[in-house]
Amino acid sequence: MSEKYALIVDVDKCAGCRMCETVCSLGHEGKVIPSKARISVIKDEQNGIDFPVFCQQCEQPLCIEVCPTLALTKDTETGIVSINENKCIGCAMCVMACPIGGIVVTDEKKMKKCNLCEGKPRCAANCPTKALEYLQLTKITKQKQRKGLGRMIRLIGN
Amino acid sequence: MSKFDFGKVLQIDLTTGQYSSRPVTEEEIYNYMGGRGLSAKFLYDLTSGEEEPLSPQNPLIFGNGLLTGSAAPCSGRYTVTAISPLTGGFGDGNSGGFFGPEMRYAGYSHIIFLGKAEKPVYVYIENDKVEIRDASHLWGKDTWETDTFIKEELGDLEVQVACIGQAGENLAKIACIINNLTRAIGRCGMGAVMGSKNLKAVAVRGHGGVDNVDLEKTFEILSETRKLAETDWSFKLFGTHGTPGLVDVYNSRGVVPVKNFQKSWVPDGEAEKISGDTFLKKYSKKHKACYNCVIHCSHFYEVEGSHKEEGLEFESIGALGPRIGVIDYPSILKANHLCNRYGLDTIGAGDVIGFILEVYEKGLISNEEIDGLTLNWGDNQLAEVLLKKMSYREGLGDLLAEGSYGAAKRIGKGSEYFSAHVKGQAIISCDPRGLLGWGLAFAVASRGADHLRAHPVVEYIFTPERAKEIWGTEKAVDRTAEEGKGKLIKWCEDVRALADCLGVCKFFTRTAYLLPEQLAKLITPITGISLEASNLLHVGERINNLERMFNVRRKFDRKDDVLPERFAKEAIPEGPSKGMTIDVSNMLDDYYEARGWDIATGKPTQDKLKELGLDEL
Repeated sequence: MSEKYALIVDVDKCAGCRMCETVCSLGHEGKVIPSKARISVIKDEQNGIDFPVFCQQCEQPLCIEVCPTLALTKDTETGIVSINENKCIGCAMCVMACPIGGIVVTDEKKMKKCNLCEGKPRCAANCPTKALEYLQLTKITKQKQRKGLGRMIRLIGN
Repeated sequence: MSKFDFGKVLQIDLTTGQYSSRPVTEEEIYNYMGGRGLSAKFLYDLTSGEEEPLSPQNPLIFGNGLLTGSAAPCSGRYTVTAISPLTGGFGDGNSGGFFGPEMRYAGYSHIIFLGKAEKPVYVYIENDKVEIRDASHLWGKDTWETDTFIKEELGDLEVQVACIGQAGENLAKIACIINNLTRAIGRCGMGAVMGSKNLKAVAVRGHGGVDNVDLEKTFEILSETRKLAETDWSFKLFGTHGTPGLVDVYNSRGVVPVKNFQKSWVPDGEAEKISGDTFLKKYSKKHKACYNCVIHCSHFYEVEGSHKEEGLEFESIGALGPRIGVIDYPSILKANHLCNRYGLDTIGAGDVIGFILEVYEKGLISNEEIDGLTLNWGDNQLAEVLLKKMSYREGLGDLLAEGSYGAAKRIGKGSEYFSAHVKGQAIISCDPRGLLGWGLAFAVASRGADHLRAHPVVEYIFTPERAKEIWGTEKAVDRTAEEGKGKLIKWCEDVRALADCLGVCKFFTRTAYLLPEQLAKLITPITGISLEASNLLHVGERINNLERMFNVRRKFDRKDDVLPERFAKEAIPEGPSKGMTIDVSNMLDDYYEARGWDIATGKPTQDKLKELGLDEL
C-alpha cells in the first residue's frame, strides 16, 4: 500500500510573506506572477490573520462533478486532481463549485489549480516558517495531536 | 534567454490630471539600477535646486528596486523620494510590506507625481488603468480608516494602499507614508510632501508579474542565498525577537539614548522591562513578514484592552521609550500604534518629544507656551497627548510638527544645542559617542542623520583581520577608534546603496549576504543582466555622488556634515560607553579623501565626477 501525502498548513506559523505564491508561480509559469499562483495567502491585516488557500485534492471533488467536458480528473494512485487544458472550455464552473476557492481563474480565463508539483510541492519546500508542510496523511494527525497536547501541557503547567 | 521587462515609469501631473508612461531603459538600469538610485536621477533631472519642499514644484517619486516583487528573498521594498521638508536637501524613505511588489505587478518600476491636485484626491492604478479619484471624504481620516475605506470603495480587498494620516495632511515635517497599516516610508517627511500635493493615497493592483530569465539557476541560487543568510548571527535574533532584540545588543554597549541623550544606558533591572524577550513573551502573538521574506523579523502583537497590530522596531522602542524617559511597554506600544495611525515617523516623533522635555527642563520655553500641560520625563501618558497635537498642529503641536531642529529654530535661546539632529533630521536611538563609525555615517548621510545609508554594522561584526584586508587597518572595526572610519563608511555607503536600488531588505544583506559578489549572483539569473562586483560598487558610488551633488546644488557643504556639538562637549556619563565623546572632523577628512572629494568643501571633484560619468552635473 503506497503512503498518501497531503499539503497542510499551520496557520499559527504563517507569517504572511507570500513566498508560496512566488515559488508556485515561478515553478508553473516561469515567472513571479501571484495572480496565476495556485496558492494564495488571504490576509486580514488588522487582525493579524494570514491563511494560505489552495486545492485540498478532495476525495469527492465538486469541481470534477460540475465539469461539463470532463477536463478535471482525480488520479486514483496519487489523489491529485488535475485539469486537462485541452479539454477545458473556460466555463469556470469548477471555480464556482469549489467551496474554498481552490481553483484560480486567470485574466485569460484559464483555470489553474494546484497539482502538488507532481508530488514535490515547492511552496512547502520553500516556506520560511514551515507553516506549509507536505506530510504523510497518518503523520498529520499525530502532529496535530502533539501540538494540541503541547498547548494543554503549557496550560496545566501554568 | 528571454528578455527581462524592467517595468515602466509612470508620470502623473496632479495639477492637470494628465499622465503618461514609458519603459525603463537598459542604460538606466546599468547606471542607476532602480529604486533609490534611479529615483535620485529622476529627482535631480526634474529640479533645479531652487524648489521649496512643500511646493507643487517638488516631485514625489515612488520607486521600485530592480528586484522588487521578484523571486529574490526579502524583495518587497520600495522607496519614496522628494526634496525633504526636514532637511531641505535630498530626501527619501524606504518601506517593506506588499505595496512595492503590487505596483510592479501593475507594470510599474517608478511612479512620479508632479504638481498639486486642486482638492484632496487619491490615485488608483490597476494595470494600465490610472484614475485620479476624489478623496474629500477621506481627508481627516487616519491611515487605517483610509486603507479600509479605499478597499471597500474599490470593492477589492487585495488592493495595496500607501497613504498619509492627519500628520501628512497638516504638513507635519515628521509625517510618514504608511502602507499595509504599519509599514512606513518613515524618514525625511515624505508624508508632508504627499500632503502638500493633496494626495491622500496611492492604491495599486496588478495582475502581471516579474520575469525570470533562468529558472533552474534561480531556484539554485535561492537555496544557496538562504543557507548563507542563515550563517548571519542577526538572522536568528531577528527571526525570533525581531529588532526589539537590539535593545539588549545596544544597551549592553551603552549606546541607547535616555532622556534626549542626557544618558545612554538603561541600567540592569530597568532594561529588562523593555527588552526583546519581554516583548516576545508578553505581547507577541506570532511572527510576521514582508514580501518573500526568509527572516520574518516582524510580529503581530496585542496589548490587551488597548490595541493589536503588526510590528515593533527597536528604533520605535528607543524613540518612544528611554529617549523620553519611558520604560514601559504598554505606553511605548500605544505611542507606536498612534504614530502608525496618524502617519508620523516614530523616530522623528520621539526625538521632538525628548527635545521639548529637555528644553522645558532647562527653562527655555515658558509655561504659557505649552498648552497647560505638565512636561515630565517618563510620563507614560504624555506621548499620546503630544502625538495628537503634532498631527493636527494644535497649540504646542504646531511647534513639535516641525521636528526638533525646526522647533529649535523657532524657540531660539540656544535650544538647538538640545536638538539631536544632522541637517534637520533626527538622530536614531544609537548614541554616536559610543559608535564612532556610526557617528561619521550620521554626519555624512545624504538624507541627514541616518543610519541606513551606511548601516555600518560591520563596525562591530567583522574581525580585525577582515577589516585590515578590506580597509587597510584593524582599527576600522574598533568602535572607539577614529582610524579607518573614512574608508569604512565610504565602502558601507556604496554597498548599502545597492540594497536600496535592488529593493532588497538591508536585513537580508546585513552581513553574510552583503558583498557585491553575492548580490551579482542573485541579479543575473533573475534579470539576465550580467554584472561584475566592481560594476556594482561603481553604481553604488555613482548614486552616493549623485545625491551629494543634489545637496551641493542646494547649497550644502562641509559645514553641514557635523554632529551636534553636545556630542563633543558632553561625555556619556555612565554605563559601558562612559566617558566617550565624538568629534567627526578628523574622520571627515579621511572620508572625503576616500571619496575623492575636496577636503575643504566636501564637494566631489571634477575628476571623481568624470570617473563616474556624472561630469554633466
